[in-house]
Amino acid sequence: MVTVGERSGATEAYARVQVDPITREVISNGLTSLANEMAVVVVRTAHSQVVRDSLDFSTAVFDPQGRVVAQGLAIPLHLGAMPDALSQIMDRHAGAIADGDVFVLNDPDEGGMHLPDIFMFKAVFVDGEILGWVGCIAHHADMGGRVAGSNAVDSREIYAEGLQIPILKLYEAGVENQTLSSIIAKNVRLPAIVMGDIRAQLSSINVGERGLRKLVAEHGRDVLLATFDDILDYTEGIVREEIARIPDGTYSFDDYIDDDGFGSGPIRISATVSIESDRLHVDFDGTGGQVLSALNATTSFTRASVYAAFLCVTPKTEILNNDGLYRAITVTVPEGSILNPRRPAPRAARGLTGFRVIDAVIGALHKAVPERCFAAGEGGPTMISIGTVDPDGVSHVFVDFVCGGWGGRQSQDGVDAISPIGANLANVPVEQIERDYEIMVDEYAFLPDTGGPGANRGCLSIARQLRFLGDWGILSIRSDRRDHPPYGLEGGLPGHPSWNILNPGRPDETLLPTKFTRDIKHGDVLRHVTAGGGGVGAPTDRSADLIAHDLEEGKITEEHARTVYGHTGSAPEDRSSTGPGAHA
Amino acid sequence: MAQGRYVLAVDIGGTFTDIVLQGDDGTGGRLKISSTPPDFEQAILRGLDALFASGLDRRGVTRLAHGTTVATNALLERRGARTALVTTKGFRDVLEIARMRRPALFDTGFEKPRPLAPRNLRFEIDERTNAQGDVVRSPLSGDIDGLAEELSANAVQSVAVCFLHSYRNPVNEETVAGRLRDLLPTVHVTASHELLPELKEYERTSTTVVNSYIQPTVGQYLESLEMGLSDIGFDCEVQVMQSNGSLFGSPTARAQPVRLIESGPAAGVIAARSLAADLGEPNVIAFDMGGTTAKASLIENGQAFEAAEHEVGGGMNQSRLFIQGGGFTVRIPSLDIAEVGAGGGSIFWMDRGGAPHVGPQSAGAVPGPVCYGAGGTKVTVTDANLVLGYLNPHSIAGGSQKLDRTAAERAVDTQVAGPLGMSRLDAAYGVHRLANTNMSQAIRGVSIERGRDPRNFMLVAFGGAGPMHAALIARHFEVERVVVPASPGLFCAIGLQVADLRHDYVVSYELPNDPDCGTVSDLFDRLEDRARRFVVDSGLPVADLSLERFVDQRYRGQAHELSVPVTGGRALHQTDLHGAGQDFHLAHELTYGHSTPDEPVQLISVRLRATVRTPKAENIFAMQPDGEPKAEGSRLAFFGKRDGVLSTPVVPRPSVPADEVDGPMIVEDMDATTVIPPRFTVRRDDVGNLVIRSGR
Repeated sequence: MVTVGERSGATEAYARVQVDPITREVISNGLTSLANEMAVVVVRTAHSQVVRDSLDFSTAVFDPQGRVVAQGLAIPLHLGAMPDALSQIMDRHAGAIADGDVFVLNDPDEGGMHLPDIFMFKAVFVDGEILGWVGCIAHHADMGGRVAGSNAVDSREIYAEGLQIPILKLYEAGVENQTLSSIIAKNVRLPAIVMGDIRAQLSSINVGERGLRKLVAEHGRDVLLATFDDILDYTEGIVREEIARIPDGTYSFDDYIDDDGFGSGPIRISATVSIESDRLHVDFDGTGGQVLSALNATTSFTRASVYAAFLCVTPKTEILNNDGLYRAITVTVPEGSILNPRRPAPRAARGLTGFRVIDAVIGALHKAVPERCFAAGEGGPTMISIGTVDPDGVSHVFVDFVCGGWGGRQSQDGVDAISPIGANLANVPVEQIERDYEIMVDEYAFLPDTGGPGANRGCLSIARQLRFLGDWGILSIRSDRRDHPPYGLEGGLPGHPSWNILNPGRPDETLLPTKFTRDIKHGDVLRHVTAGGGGVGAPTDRSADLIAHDLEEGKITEEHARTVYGHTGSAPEDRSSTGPGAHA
Repeated sequence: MAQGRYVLAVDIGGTFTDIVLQGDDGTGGRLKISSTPPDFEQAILRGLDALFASGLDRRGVTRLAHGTTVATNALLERRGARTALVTTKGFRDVLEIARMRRPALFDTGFEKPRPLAPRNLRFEIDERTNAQGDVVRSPLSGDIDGLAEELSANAVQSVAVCFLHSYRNPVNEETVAGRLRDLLPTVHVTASHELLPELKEYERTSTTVVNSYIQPTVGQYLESLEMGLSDIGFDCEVQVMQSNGSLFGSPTARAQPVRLIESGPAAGVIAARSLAADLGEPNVIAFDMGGTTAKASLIENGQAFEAAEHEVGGGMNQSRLFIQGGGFTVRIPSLDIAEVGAGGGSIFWMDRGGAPHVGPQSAGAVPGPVCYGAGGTKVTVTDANLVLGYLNPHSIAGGSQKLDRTAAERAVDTQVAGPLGMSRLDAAYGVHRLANTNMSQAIRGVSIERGRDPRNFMLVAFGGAGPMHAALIARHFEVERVVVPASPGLFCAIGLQVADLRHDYVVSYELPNDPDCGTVSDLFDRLEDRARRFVVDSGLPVADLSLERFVDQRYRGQAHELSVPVTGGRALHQTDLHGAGQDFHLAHELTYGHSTPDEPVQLISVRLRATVRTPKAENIFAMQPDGEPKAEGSRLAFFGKRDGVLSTPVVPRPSVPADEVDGPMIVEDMDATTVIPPRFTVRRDDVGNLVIRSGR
């Protein structure tokens, strides 16, 4: 049986051949391992701590129309955003794409998200025809701008955030655009690291190109193209089936960002999820307006957050994060809101806003399918950056993403110490921080009694305490969840709020805001406490065994057990416990 | 050499214990018997009694080379010691916080592995060393004494001590570990710098805790084994296979059992390497397929690849080069073996969207495949292979197992062919192909993901099911040649026979300036002294010791190093280091497809590989398991749409001609079945290996 599929762009119309299910599965596995292989190349060759240790990057393979068919094991929130960037490239350069062209961009108004994320794409040509695309997005350690790390919340315009790269060719028919390379190298604080990471991205897409060509050679053009369509149809099918299992209706939930870093707030994120048969629509009407600071997100990032939230409540591992998923879910975002701002809105700290979108959408879905939803986790990783300049004029940028953990789940406690669901970040080893920067870490530990109480409690707060040993530096922090701690569900209580304290236990101890940029001097100590996750179910319904276990492990104190959980038993004394106070 | 000297090799798996006895006069014996969990040494002792019943001189056995899963099992089944961790004040939770990542993005039911040292058994000491190696605070002796009391009050059996920056300066760790050993003589104490003097506190802590956790179990096991051997008249040294594919003495194994976590699968790779050397083939992919999993490993220029770190118990990793977060991190060099959940027992299933999958769920030995008639109801890869005509319905495993072909056909019809709208044979062939695809992930993981083109390699296929799938997998990767050794089912035990004794000594190079040859030479000298002392202390001949020097380097700013050999005399010249730097660019190019020769290269550590070579019996690969050779015949077998059903000759291995003949052909051994599809050729070489070539 032969049906005719539609194709646009440089690809010839083709006969959509029938591919047997086994071959389809073989090719699908091949595409997934190709995307993973691309990711491995990035990890092994990257230079920056944020890419090689925190793993803040993603890779993907696309069909000739620019639809994601496979993603590497990386950051969920990147992937939904890649097709937007690629479609802008394909529109802008339609008919003028050559074999060996490599496109880059970071401008949020041309398909990017925030300036540190450089997107890179390459069309894969076989016999003069584009048979797919490969892409890699990486968070760079610095893009220039007013604050080292280019991540600050308190910028007022995108021009302050660093170098903007519109859609440009970094390679034109295989020849490097050295003008562009040298402009990038000149405008960033860490040229060797940034250019090293750009080379890592290049290696990755070159490996992707080679692999996709091999798949064409192995299975033939028509079979591969038909399989792309089949994979996406298949994913769309099971996604729609899953949506159909959610009761029809309209479900709303509001969550909040404490403030914008300039004293305005709270900022409402209002999600209304409508389910109609096998269609899921999310409307963000009622969400707060565009803010003065860099918390503004893009619509692509908002959509990516919605996909991630949906996948969290859909326990189907066979759903691939590809275009088939995107087809079944629609999103509207009011123009001029924090989720869809107008130029020249700054956007560096949009990550926080995306995590809150996930919290709001899961909160709304909880009203439809409570049995699948968990309470709010820590609220998105806290970003701490410290910029210094050494006597030789060389800049150094320390960037640390501090994760907490998950909220309570329907039949399990929230996981303590794990990357939030919208990301899959690793922490940076303490010994590595101390070797590479003028920083000493005093503490990295759980704080007892901080998990939102519930039948299933939320994750514990984590303290990360840094002592600055340089002469002078600029400290910038993006955090939240102090006034609006992570919510509980079904009688579960919110988690412990997040804190930033300067010089704890000293006469000059100061409570710092959630978002700020300021100077620090030698000997200053920053104590950051992540928020605890929210609980699920009434604390009085928590099992005595779990309470006793938390007591034994020193994750709650006896007083907390008594006053919050009404627990009367006692546990063995735990003399090694670290109190919630600071290590002086 | 004196007559009648023997080496014993014993490989223990969950189901079978394999013993290979090899004398220097060419005599020997082979035995496959059921394992005896949890007292695994019982099977060994019984097996040896049987093997030596004929009156061979037990005193003639000089050493017993042993591959065992006892360390892994203790960890995965959580039957280890009550373990405490002693660490720097402020960092009690490093072990549990781990690296924050999870193996599956949207699995909201995920649980991290429960730490082997629970929070109430993690103790802090007020001490500190900084990143430059200066002691900022020394531990107070009063604190240590108080800690010792607390440890004994908590009935702790094993203690891991891991302080920040002990890889730079271990003095605080030495003080505390030494004092605890004095005060608590019955408690096992492992200090992290003794095991892994490397940066990254979580990886070092986790590795040390795993060592502490399994130490008493492994110690007791080796003790029981040695006592049992002595009781039945053996007086031989016991050597254990390490994760890196070489043997080490039992005393070291007891002190550092974490080094034998991957002991089991390592031996097969070593056998493949040795066989390849005999065949004059430097580049080989070792492919081992059993009942539950398939494993692949790469040998290049006669060297097996190593991985610096792996996670134990985290499930099958698609790509082991990421931090996964699902298992216990062990940073100990091990052979780079990729494992996927695809074996003879892997189950066919369809997801809700109707897409077909094979594995990783396995029917195991019980209930087993449908055709075993032991209660299995779900189609497995073995069932598909039987329906395809690859397996002999009357006898596998030496005739001890009859297979029910009708039941397998019925199951394939209802579970595969019907739902997918295919014929029975197409459906069975589909299951076979899906299993091949899964196994290809393992081969891809060790070759393409490491920048190696599999076309430049030969495949060595072994394990019970490997020889049945190897040819088509080879075709997928355009590998030209497949070798199936004479004893595919005993291949791992043979690997133990041919493995060398080896230990890597590593020291971090922590100087900020560029390396100078004098300093590096001094570091190598110190490591060589340690190696020689170790060999002498172990009673081994120093004359058999060979030493190789490596430096681990990376581009400034990268997190992963590549090891390259250092050539030159004992006192190095600056040009030798420069050469190693040049070699690094080449290795980087080879591995990642690019290099930047104008970028500075950082020397991270200095590595000395000390090897004591063991003599290898000439006919070691020639022997086949005992048993009656089978009769020749033929049966119908299906080879896909293009070739269809063909009448296929079925022959015992000795009947395979020495000159190439065309497939299809099925070769039946006592312990495995080899399938040669059409458009492949096969011949038997003079050692008894089957050599399969892809047709043109």
